[in-house]
Amino acid sequence: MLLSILNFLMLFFGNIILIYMIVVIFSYSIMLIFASIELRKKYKLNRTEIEEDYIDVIYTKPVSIIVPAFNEEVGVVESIHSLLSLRYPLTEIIVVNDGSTDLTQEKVIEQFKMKKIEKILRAQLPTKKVLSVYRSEIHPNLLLVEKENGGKADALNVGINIAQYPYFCSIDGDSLLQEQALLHVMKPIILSDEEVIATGGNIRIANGLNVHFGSVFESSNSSNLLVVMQIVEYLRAFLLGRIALSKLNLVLIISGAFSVFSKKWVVEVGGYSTHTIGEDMELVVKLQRFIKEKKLKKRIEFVPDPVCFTEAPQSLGVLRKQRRRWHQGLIESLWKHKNITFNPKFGSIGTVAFPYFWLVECLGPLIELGGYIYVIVCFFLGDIYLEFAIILSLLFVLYGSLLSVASIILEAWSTNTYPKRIVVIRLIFMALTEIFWYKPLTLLWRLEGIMYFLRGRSEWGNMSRVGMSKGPSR
Amino acid sequence: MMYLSIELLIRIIVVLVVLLICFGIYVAINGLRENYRNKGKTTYLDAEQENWYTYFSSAGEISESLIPKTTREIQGVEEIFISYLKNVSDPTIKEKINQFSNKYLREHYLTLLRSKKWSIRINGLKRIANFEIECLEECQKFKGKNTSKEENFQLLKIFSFLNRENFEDELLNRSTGFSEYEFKKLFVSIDEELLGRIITNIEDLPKAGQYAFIDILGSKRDMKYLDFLESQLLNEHQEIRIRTLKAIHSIGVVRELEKYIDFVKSPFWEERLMMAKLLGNLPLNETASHFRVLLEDESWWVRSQAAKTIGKDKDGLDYLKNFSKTTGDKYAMEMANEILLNGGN
Repeated sequence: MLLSILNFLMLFFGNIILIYMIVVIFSYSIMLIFASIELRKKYKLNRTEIEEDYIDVIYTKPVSIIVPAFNEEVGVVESIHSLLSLRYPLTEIIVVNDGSTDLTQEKVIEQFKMKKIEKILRAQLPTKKVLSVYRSEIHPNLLLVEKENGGKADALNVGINIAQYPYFCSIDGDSLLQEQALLHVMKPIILSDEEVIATGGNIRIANGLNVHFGSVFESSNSSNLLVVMQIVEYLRAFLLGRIALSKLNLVLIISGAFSVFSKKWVVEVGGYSTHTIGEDMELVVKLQRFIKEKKLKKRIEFVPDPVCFTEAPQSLGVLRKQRRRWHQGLIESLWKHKNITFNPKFGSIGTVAFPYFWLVECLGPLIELGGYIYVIVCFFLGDIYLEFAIILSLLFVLYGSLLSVASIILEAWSTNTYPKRIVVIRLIFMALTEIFWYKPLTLLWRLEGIMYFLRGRSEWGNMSRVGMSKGPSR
Repeated sequence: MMYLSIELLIRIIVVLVVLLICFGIYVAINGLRENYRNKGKTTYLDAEQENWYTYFSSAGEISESLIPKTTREIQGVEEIFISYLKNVSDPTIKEKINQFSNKYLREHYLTLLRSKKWSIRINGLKRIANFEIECLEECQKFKGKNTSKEENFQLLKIFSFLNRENFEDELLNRSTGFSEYEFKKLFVSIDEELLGRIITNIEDLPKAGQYAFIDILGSKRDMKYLDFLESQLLNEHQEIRIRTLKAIHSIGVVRELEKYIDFVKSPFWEERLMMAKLLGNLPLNETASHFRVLLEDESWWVRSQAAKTIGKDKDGLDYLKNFSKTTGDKYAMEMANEILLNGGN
C-alpha cells in the first residue's frame, strides 16, 4: 500500500517536472531561433554609420536623465561626468538626492558649481517634499534636487516632476553607459514615430572590463567565478528571452539600470510605485496593462545592443540578497496584476506573457529545485527510477548547459563583446559547470524570494544600491 | 512517466553538441578572418592616409598605390572617403571622391547589390548614395522586387541625384511606411530645387512626411519658405499647424502678427505654447497684451513658457515685475516670480 502510494507520487511529480522541462526547453529553443533570425538579418550591416545618423538634433527627441542618489558620495561625481559625455544632442541631467546622510550633495555642489534656484514644481506625481533645487553654473543642463528620503521610486518620481523633456531616462547610480547608449535606446522611439513608449537596453557586466568614461577599451574577463557565471546568465537572459519578447511586444521587464520612458504615459499610469520592491518591472507592467486596457497602438521594446555596464556582485552574500530581492519583486508585480493572467482582454500580455512569467520565471525555480531533489531521490531508489533520474539529468544538461553554450556562441558571432577567443572558451566551460553548483544556488535564493513574498517581508525601505558592490574591481 | 527514452535524449544531445561545435568552429574561423581583414584595412589606412590627403589637396594624378585591390582595402578607402565627406565641405574633394568611386569602386558596389543578403545590399546602396555612383539602371531593377523599407529609403536618396525628373513619383511610390525620421533624413539630403517641387505636392505625402517636411523647412532657417509655412497656419490638421508654428519660430521671423493672433486663444494648449515661444521674436511692446493672456493661461506649460520667453527680453524683468503686482491670478504670479528670482533664466 505504502509502496504504491510512493510509486504514484513519484510518477506524478516526475511527470510534472518532465512536462515543465520539455515546455521550458521548447520555449527557450524557439526564442533562441527567433533571436538568431533577428541577429542574422543585421549581421554584417555597417552599424557605426547608422548610429551616427541619429546624432543630429532635428531627428532626436530631447531626454531628461534622472539619477536617483542615496549616499553615493563615492561614485556620484564620476557618474555625472560620464553622463555629461554622452553623445546625444539635447539632454538635461537631474540628480535627485534622496535624503543622503553622507556628502553626496556637497560633492556635487562643489564639483559642478551648483547654485540654488527658484523652481515651481508641477506636481504631476505625488512625492515626498522637495527641499531645494540647484543648477550648475558650468553645465546649465545639470540640476540637483534635494528631497526628503522616500526611496528610489519616489526619487524617480521627483525627477519626472522636474523633467522638462518629453522622454526621461532612468539610470542606476553605478551604471556605466556607453557613449552612444542614449542614441541606441532612443532609436526605436524615433523610428516608430513614438509608437514605442519605453525601451530598455542590453545590460552587460562591467567587472573585468576596462571602461573609461563610458567606452569599453578591453573586454577581458573577471577572475571571479561568480562574476563569470553572471556574465553567462546575462547573455542567456537577453538572447533567450528579451529579443523574442520584444519583437512580440510581450516585454514585462526592462532593467532599471538603464531605460527610457515617454513621460506622458508614465504620468498617465501614476509613475513609479513607491511601495513595491521591483519598481522598474512594476512600471512596465502598469504601462502594458494601460496599453491593453485603452487599446492603444503602443509598444515597449528591448534594444539588443549592449549599452550599459553594471557591476555584478562578487560575493555569495550580496548575490543572494540581489536574487532574493529580484524574485520577490517579480512575484509582487505578478501578484498585484494577477487578474491579467489568462485574461483575453489583455491580449497576448494576458494569454502568453503573464502565464509564461508565472510558470517559467516565477514558479520555475520551485519545480527545478524539485527536479534536483527528485533526481537525487531517484538515484537512491534505484530500479526503474534510475532511468527517470538519467532522463531528467539529461534534460537538465540540455536546458541548463547547451542552451547557455548556444547563446554564448551566438553572442560571439553577432556582437563579439569578448573578442579574445580564450574568454569565450572560458565562458563556455563555465556554462557547462552551471548545473552543478550555480544553478542550485540561484534556485535556492529565488525560493527564498518566494518565502519572503509569502511572509510579506520587505527589507528595502530606503533606497539602497542593492547587490552592487562598490569597489575598485571595475 | 511520459515515454521518453534515454537513447533518444542522448541522440538529441549528441546532435546538438555536434551542431554547436560546428557553429563554434565557424564563429572562431570567422572571427580570425575578421581580425585579418581589420588588420588589412588598418595597414592600408596607415600606409595611404597621407597619400590620400596629398591627392585631395593638390592637383596631381592619382597614384597607383591608392587604388584598392582587395575588399579590406576598399573598406579602408570607404572609411577615408566617409570621413572627408562628413568633415570637409570642399566641392573639389567631393568631385574627386565621386570620380574615383565611379571609376574604381562601381563594380564592387554593383556586386553588393546582387547579394541575397539584405544587410550586404543595404551596405552597397548606402555607398552608392554616399559617393553618388552612376548606376540608375541597376537601382531601377529594385522596382519589381519586393524591396524593403530600408532599401527604398536608400534608393530614394540615390534617385535624388540620379533620377531627379521622376523623384516626386518615386517618393510617393516608395515612401509607404516611412517614419517621420526617415522622411526627415531624406529631406535633409535633397537640394532646394527638389524641396521646392515637393512643396507643390505636399498634400499627397502621408502625414508623417508632411510633418517631417515642415520641420525640415524650419531647420533651413530660410525666409523663402515663409509664404508656404504661413499658408499652412490655416491647415485643418492641428499637428500641421503646431509644426508650422514651430518651424516659423525656428526661422525667427514673424511678418504679420495678425495672422497669428487667433492662436493666443486657441482651444489647444500646444498651439498656445508655440505662440508663447513665437512671440519672443517680436519686441515686447508689440506683444505685451498677448503675453498677459498667455501668462494667465490655464495650462502650466503655456504659463511657464510665456514667463521664460518674457524673461529673455531686455525689458522682460520690468514687465514681469509689473505683471506680478497687477495680476489677480495666483499661479501666473508664481510663474512670473520664479523667473524674476532667477534673474530672467
